[in-house]
Amino acid sequence: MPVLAAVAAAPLARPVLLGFLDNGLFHVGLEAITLRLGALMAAAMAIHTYADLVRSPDRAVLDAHPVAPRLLLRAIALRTALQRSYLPVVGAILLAPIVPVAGWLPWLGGVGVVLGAWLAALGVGFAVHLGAVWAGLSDGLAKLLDALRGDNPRMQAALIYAPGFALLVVALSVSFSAGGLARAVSGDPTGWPLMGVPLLVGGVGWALAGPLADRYYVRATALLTEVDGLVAGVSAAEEDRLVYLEWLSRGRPELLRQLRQGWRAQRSWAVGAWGLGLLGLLAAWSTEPGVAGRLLSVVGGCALLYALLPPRLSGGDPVWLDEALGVQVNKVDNARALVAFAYAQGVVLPALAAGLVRHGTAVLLPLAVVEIIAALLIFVSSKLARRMGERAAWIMGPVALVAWAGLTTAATPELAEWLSRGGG
Amino acid sequence: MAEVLQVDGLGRDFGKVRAVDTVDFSVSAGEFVGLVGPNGAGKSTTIKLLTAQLLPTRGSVRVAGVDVVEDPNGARRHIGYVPEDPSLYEYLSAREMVSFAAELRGASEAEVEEVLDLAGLGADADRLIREYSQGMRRKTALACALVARPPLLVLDEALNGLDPPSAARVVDALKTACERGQAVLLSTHVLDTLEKVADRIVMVAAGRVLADVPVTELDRVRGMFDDAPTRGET
Repeated sequence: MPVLAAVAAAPLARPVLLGFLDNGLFHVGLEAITLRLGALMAAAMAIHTYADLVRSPDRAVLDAHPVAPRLLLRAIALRTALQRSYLPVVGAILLAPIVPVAGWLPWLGGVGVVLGAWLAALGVGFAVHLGAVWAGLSDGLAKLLDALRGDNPRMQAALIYAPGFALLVVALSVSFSAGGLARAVSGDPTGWPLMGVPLLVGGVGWALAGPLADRYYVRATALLTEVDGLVAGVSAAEEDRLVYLEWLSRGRPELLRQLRQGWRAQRSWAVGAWGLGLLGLLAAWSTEPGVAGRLLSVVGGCALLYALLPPRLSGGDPVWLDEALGVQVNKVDNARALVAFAYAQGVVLPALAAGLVRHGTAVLLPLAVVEIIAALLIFVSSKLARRMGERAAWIMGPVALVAWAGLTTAATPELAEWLSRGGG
Repeated sequence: MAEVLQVDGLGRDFGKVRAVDTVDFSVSAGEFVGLVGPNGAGKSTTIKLLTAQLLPTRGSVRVAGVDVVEDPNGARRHIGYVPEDPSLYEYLSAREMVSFAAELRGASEAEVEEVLDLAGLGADADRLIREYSQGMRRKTALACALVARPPLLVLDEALNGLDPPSAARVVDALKTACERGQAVLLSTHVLDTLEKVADRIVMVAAGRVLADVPVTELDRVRGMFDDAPTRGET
């Protein structure tokens, strides 16, 4: 499904992703887009390697038995690689419009950078997450982790920062390969060897992962039990009684239930919106020309992600409960949509505030377009979730991707200028 | 008899909460020990500490001479563990699940058949685990724990949710294991079953061992339940 979505989105996203094909800045643009796609691969794989190695459901089964950690690591890595093999394929498809303009070589080079990033993230991700278990258990790093952990248990701090560290290492290596590709296609043969840097980094990561698995794969269980116990102890008291945006629910029990469900079971969506909002803020703060296009692309992309939230909310919210409570299903659907839309405001509001300060009312119309499309998709997603449950995400994901591609296609300089004038 | 499990000064704090204060006891080969105590006594935390699911704040645990903190994977080789809520691969049959456990532990297929029979799963062994009742799941976990005959069997509330014939079957399997020289530590708050099978009772309350006595003194342990301190009183 993601591959099909990429096939549909590639021509639509071309003006934004591959605008350099038409403006004469080919080498700079090729380096920038491969670096970004490579970083995206690294970010996705940093999370997937964590989920598959540290928080995998297999761990609960295997905890009752002795394991051969290196063999297990190999098996997990193979499974992760197979299950996430669509990522570099998606990257290759999104880069495909390069071929008719610049030929096969730059495209193959771009695919090489993306694939290298994916492979590097596979090796580095496992090593870093196992290293995080060592860090979490280390007395020597206790003070450092205490300084970083905020309200989290100390041991969790190591796990929280591990994906970011893996992303940093891989992204640095990808900066070499993307730069190398740009040099190579501009005729400088010294660029080609640089494309191997991520593979080297990934190889070193993989070589370290084996010995780390021997020592820390099994120990991770004790660390996770510790973290979960402490988190439960902390959150069970005051924190869980307070629900984000609870004031919205006055007199609407079905909305209060969805808000509780969202805050207690899908908190990363609520908190993550404000993290994504930082991207929107940066896009709006810049005084470079084309703010309307940037807002449509960046804020639009982030806000449309929230079309995936209603299926998640429906996952932990059984139908029998609605029936037992005698709640009208439409009210529940609307409540889910409202929660998702309210969470998405964390994405939009920082951009709105920054845009009003820097550009005045010129940002209102593009953000209104984003809000309308996000609201529409979220509403449809909520209705689909009623029928399909969590599987609705398999439809809404590609739909949101295509809608985002449509937004970025619309973000032409002419449209941006028209939107900036307020549509007049 | 050789000591298979040696627990010395074991304790565990969660922040300011002292879940396990100080626990000392041992279990020898061929011995059946009941770990008993009221709800919230610290039994499950103690079991987690014994099976390397949790790190102790103080004290040590050795299983067949292996320190569970220093070498948790090595210690697991000597432990057959049945958690209170067993995690199993739902898409496997019991026979496939036990074969998988046997492979992890280096046991033969013949042993798989033996433990399936011992756990009373013979006729249902080819059904998928996702179709099983809680009792059947627990018997599957028991079969996984029995395979390869590890020197120590640790069972956390393993008799909960079992109907009387199933509970009797599990107890019989554990007795057989003891006769073969395996040590059994069964955590439970149901004392009646222990009377028939256990050699010794270790009673914990508020994270401390209140009694470590032969099963013949079970009535004294029963009396202690009513007066057992709660954790808030430590």
